[in-house]
Amino acid sequence: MSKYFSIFKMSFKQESKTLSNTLTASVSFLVIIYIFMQLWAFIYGGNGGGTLIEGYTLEMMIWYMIMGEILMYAVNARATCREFSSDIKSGKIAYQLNKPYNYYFYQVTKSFSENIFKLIFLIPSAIFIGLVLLGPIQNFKIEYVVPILFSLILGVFLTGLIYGFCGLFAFWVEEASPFAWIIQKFQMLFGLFFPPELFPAGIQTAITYSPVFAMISGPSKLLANFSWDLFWKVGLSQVVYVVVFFVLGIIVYNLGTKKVNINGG
Amino acid sequence: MGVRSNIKLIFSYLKLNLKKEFNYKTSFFLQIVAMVLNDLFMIIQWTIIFKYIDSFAGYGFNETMLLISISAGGFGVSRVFFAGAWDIKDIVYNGKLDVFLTQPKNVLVNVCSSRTQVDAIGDLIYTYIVLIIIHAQWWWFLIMPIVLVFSGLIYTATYVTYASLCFWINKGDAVAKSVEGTINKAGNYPPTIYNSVVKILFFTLIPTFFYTFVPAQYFFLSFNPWWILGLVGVTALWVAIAFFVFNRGLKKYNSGNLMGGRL
Repeated sequence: MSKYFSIFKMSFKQESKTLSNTLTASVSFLVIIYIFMQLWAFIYGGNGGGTLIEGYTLEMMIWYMIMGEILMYAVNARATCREFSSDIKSGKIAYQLNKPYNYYFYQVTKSFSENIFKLIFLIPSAIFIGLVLLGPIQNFKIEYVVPILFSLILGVFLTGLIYGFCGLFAFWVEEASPFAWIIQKFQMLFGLFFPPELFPAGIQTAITYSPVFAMISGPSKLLANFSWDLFWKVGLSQVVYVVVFFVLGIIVYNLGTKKVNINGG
Repeated sequence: MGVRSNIKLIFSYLKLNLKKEFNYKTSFFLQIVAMVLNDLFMIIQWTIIFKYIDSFAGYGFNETMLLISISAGGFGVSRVFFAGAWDIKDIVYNGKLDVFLTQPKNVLVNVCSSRTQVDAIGDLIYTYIVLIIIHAQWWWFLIMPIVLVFSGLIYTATYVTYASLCFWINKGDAVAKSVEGTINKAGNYPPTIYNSVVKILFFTLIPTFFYTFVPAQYFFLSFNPWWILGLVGVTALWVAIAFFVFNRGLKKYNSGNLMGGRL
């Protein structure tokens, strides 16, 4: 465990050297939040919208989306997957597999560390733009901060774990990024753009029991409209999926390493 | 260096790049198919949005999908023909430009065409899938490649202009990435959602509207030759600015004495 903690610390230090990348991501993050704010403001004020859509006020919808964007921006899905593909294509995997760690967990830890670093900038940016353009969240209490942060961090960890799992398929098809795109789109469509309540009943249930809920919808709903019931539900879902992808990751990793054809490193 | 010679170079690169990528056959097709599927999600997204609103001041489902198809196609042209533009940072900071400078071709065209992003072929396919879905008129299918050339050129030229800051400052691509992200994302939405200040910005420093809205509106929805002429002019202007800024930057370039070969 201590070796993964060292990997975490090392990656965190490395990430701090590429501060400009994180700051660029923060600017891009603010731009996309602004676009969505404009879009939803138009929908709420437009000819088809009312002041409430499926129980969400405009402010709740935007805070939901802000949390979703934090989760999307914190985890660079494509980069996480690309690491696996590039190591396998280049033969660098030969060096990685010889090291005294599990390569899958190494990548997940590295990605988690980078993502936590990004959160240091994304969270204040999000709070700033939210407070300036929307004002405080209704009925928000200071004691909600810790459970929401906990859920956010667990969501980030789970998302990295899932994209890492996805990257393992590079052992078979060399380039695993396409799988990441599809997962990312599921995450965006069923988590980021719309709360589950905006979908028909059947899909709503499917979302609630899917990893998307644990990755993005759950934490986002917590920020928009916190309740302790919801917190426990989201937390349970996150823990269950962390265990599931942890185990699946080990299985697929063990199968994948048997497929390795070293190119000379 | 003539235009014809550069066009020939661009297509020669494309052929070579595709051959190289085709070595990983499964990956090649998987990337294209996955990108089409990835893009198709946008249709579901807008179907849901239009459950709550009839139109964005005249932009209904079909019109919005047209914007998205041009956005995807413009991106596709840019990344299929000129993906090398996204390597400017790496090429400049790591002194990899020497190998391009020694070749008897225009440096910027050479750099931009040197790489092809395979998955972007999926974006081009998606453009036509959207046209089928919205029951586009037959001539839209014929005009679309011309439209996409303009969109692709504006997208690439804008990125090159801002990325050329790498010649002067450290991490110069940061601005380029933000501008690119804005064009790419904001271009998918009807202009009516933005306020006046943002609209001015999107017509000038960040030419989002020339990337999607102007082609969609004035080529397809309400043909207007003056706007099209304007689009041609703006595209030429951005391409000229990109060449100008890049060439000025070249004078600042310090060789890394890196020995490199290009096969």
